[in-house]
Amino acid sequence: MPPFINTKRAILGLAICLAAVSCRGQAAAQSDDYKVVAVENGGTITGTVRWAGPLPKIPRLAITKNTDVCNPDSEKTRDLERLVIEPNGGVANTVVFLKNISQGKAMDLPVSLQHLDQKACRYVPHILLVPQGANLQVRSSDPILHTVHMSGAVSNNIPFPFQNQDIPVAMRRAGVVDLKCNAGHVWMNAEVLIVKHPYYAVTDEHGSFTLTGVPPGEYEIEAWHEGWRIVSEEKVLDVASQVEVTRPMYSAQLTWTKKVVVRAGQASEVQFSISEN
Amino acid sequence: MGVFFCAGSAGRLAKKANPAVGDDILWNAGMTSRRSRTLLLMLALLGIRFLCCLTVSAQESKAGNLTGQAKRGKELYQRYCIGCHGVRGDGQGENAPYLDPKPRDFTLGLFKCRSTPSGSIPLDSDLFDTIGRGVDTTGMPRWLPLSSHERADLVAYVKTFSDRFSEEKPDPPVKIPSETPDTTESIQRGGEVYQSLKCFECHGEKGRGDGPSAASLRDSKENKIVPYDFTVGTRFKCGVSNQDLYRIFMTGLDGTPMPSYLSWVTPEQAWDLVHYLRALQGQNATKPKETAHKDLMARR
Repeated sequence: MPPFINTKRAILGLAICLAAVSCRGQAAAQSDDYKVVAVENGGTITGTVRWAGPLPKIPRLAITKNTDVCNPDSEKTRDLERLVIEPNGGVANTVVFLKNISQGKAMDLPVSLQHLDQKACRYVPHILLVPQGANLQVRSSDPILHTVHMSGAVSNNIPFPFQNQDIPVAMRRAGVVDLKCNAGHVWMNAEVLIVKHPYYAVTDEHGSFTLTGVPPGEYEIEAWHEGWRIVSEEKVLDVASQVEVTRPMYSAQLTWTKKVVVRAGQASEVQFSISEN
Repeated sequence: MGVFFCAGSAGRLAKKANPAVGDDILWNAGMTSRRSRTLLLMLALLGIRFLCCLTVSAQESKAGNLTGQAKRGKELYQRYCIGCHGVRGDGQGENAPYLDPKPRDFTLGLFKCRSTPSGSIPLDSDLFDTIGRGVDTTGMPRWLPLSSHERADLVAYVKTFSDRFSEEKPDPPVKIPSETPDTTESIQRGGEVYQSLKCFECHGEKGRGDGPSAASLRDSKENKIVPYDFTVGTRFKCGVSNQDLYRIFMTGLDGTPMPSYLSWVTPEQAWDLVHYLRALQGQNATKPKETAHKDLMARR
């Protein structure tokens, strides 16, 4: 065999090793990279997330601070919005998404889920979906101090001393981000999901969801819930008002997985049933 | 990880280069060309090693003209840091139960003292400064008995606990323009900034750390944390100078409830606030004998 072949192979080996080395760092971060392709005659997945079994105790907390702004309806307690079930069993605020989808339509998540408002000391909406690399736009409609303390895939801490100004926060890493307010509004909580592809939906008040433009194929579909139980409550004394405040800690997030077959131009249906156990 | 990968591949190629594997079709040529090929391969391997070192920046740190190495930093860490920060760098060392606030969990890649905006990883020089400066009012001492090179090595090792350092780039540092005159008017304006930004919610009307939200504060690990009491006049967590105070306020202390006010004030307002906070310290104020980065570099 002529020597140049060997030289060639040695160079090839070197090139492969170099390529592997230079790609390695990114491979760890983006092994599940998503590729945008034209989806012709894609299918649709519709369905609902419903509660099964007896209704659990829905966590509520007293509104102990800035009651003029935070409690316009003079409620005794505030629903933490961790578990929202309509009378016929539909579960809202559950995220339903396709797992391990490698290619499909371009990002088209609703812009409304990329804008967070702090209004009457609630986070609106309660569940946000932001494409990885995009900004979450955050504002406060309240004339009092709020701070948006993000922890999880993105960690960030931005105060809102003034009303009605949008502050963009870069969502760099995919994953889940917990939101809390450190300005004494211990009941405020929300979740941001930073996602790599557009096949995500948040269930509406009836527990319904729709995923459109899905390339035909078989997928794993997952329902994600932030978790509704309060696992511990710590009583703290509000120095100024001398009121005892409860700072809640929530149970872990939960998921349910199913298989779904999507056929060209057709609708598939998936029903999730979630329960206390 | 990158290093191990390279070493593994290099090992595989090196085995092929062994003339004993003569029946491999690749190595069936004459002795002379086999030698030259072996030489070529060795050169190639050297090249790979060299390039590995260039690409594996996650194993290194840069502080001024120093380059820290994680390998050396690991030995130092196991001698000096492991007791509090733990084997895995998660802040669960054997001394952790006795400390308040708790030792930093390096696996989160979240750091209080940064020159970069909230949400960004710190610069290597920020971590380097923290090691030399210590974190006042906490269990973190000033590690000046270690040489500046050893501290740079520790920075390199601390960075290996979080993927953030290999996957993200730090944002540009927050600019600190030159200080405005510290006058009665500036202090007065600073008091108005303190009110309008509602700093009193946590730090209290008189800066005593007793604001209405103070009791409910938790850090990112859900541990209790108290707001700074300006009137006791101790050093700040991230430095002692007016520039340090400006930076703390603008970048926030990530992992704590102290947020970043970068989006909300002009540099003039921020300097006014610094002057007001200094006035709250009154007679207790530490004289801001500069412990700036260049001084920390100069030690040993």
